[in-house]
Amino acid sequence: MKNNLLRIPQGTESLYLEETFRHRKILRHMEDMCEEWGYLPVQTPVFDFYDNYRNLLDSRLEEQSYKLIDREGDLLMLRSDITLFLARQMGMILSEEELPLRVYYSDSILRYQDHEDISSHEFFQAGCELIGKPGREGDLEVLFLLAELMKSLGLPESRIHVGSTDLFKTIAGSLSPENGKLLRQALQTREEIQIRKVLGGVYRKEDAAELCRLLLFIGSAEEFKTELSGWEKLMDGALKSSLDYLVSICDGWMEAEGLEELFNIDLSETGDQAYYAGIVFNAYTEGAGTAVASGGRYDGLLDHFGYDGSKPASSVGFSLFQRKLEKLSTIDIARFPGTSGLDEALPAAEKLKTVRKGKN
Amino acid sequence: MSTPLTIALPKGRLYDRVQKHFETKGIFFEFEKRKLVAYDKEENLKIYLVKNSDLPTYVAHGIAGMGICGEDVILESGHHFHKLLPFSFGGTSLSLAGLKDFSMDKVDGPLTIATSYTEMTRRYFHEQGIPVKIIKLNGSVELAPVLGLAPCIVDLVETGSTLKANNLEVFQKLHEIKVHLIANPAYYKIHYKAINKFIQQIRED
Repeated sequence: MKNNLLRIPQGTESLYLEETFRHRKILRHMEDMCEEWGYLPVQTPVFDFYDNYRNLLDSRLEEQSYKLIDREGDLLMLRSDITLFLARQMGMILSEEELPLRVYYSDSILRYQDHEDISSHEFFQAGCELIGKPGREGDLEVLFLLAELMKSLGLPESRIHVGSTDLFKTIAGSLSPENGKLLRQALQTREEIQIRKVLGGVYRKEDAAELCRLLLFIGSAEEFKTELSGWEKLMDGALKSSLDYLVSICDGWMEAEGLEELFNIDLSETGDQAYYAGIVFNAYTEGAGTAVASGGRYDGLLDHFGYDGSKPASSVGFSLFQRKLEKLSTIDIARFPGTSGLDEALPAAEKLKTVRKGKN
Repeated sequence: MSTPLTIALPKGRLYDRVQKHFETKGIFFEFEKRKLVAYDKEENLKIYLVKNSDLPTYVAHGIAGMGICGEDVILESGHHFHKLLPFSFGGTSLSLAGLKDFSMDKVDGPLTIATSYTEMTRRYFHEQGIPVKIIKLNGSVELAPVLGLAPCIVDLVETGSTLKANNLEVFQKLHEIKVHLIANPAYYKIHYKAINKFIQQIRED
């Protein structure tokens, strides 16, 4: 028999003592903050019927999800993405009178991780969803909340990169589905030559070059606004509405105090989940090898799961991989109780007295 | 001075070419004997010297923010990177080769191939709808057909002189392999300004 005590199944993690203490403290801090912003807690089930999600999983999440068969022979899926499980839960019970609704969650997720991938720490997701508040104010609220959360954790240099799925879809809309996929891939690897080649298939050479520059653009709100005039005319003005919307987001955070440093417009952010529609964003922190948080707006996901109110249940939210942040956070955490120096020889009754005294 | 960008370079053949190329662009560095970490003269770069096939691992984990390596190692690693700049030097091709008198028509059942590039080989032939049996070797792959381990090999071919010396010939090119400047996507997003400047500096004329 193999010694299973020494082996650790892929995609699992245990936390010990001080690490757990830190994890819980940071979690509590984040939960407190979400509640201050008026968000309520929700808890999603550990598994659900796979069929409900089949069409919504991108290939990566599909591969990483664990599936099992229940006693009646139905295929189940373990919780690999909280947003999806939450949408199913909310879609079932929400009525339009309850909108807008603000919820937060924090739970472990189960994903397969390659041995190569072991440091990506995707074991625990915490996040927020703002349901039923379409448009700029909803988008800004969620971006601000994420920014405040990250700031409060005292992270090293961090950035939230905001992109637009509308803009990408408008540009990719003229391409064949295969070329649209190629464009997305080339954008993810930032291969300029490849992007130009794909765009050059349908757009004039100068336009393709300019669209390529647009898609690869990363910069502050101000830098973005200085580039605008050249881009608004592209594709006979088809991009103007998406660009205008991004400008309104830019203006929003330039007004907010102390956050402008944290944001970038980054049009290569196209969202890795199929359900996004509207803004998408990823957050990065110096020292983390992958994005620490990601999110965006999605329409229709709740309708997919049975919501049928006349008010749109368009949602915007983010989830963060908390375990990645814990290692980088410089937040001041109260004394670890293991070092509190209680005398082992102390009788239990004495200990009771000491602790009670400490509380006063 | 801001913190230097981190970059991993592969030991071996490619290292010399990168070093020469960097020198033409005004970036000077050398490694002290047996040391594996060095800075360039201006201290804009912190350079790690790593084994070629381990390079993607260091970059994927963000230990090195950038790296220079061939597409072969990138594809074989299965990781996703930003491929920011292709270079003209160091290019090879991944090719199928075998003994001169070998013919694909004579093969019944899966084709047996000896290679160090198991992932790329499997992916290529499966995309073509051809079943293959793969034997993993770590080097001197040319020996396999000569000694009778496998009729075919998949290997990087630059000039073809090693193949010729062993009485082998190329049947088919599977991939053109270019050398790229790669970056960890999250690292790029934090340091894009400095990295873009660096790209402008090392871009070939």
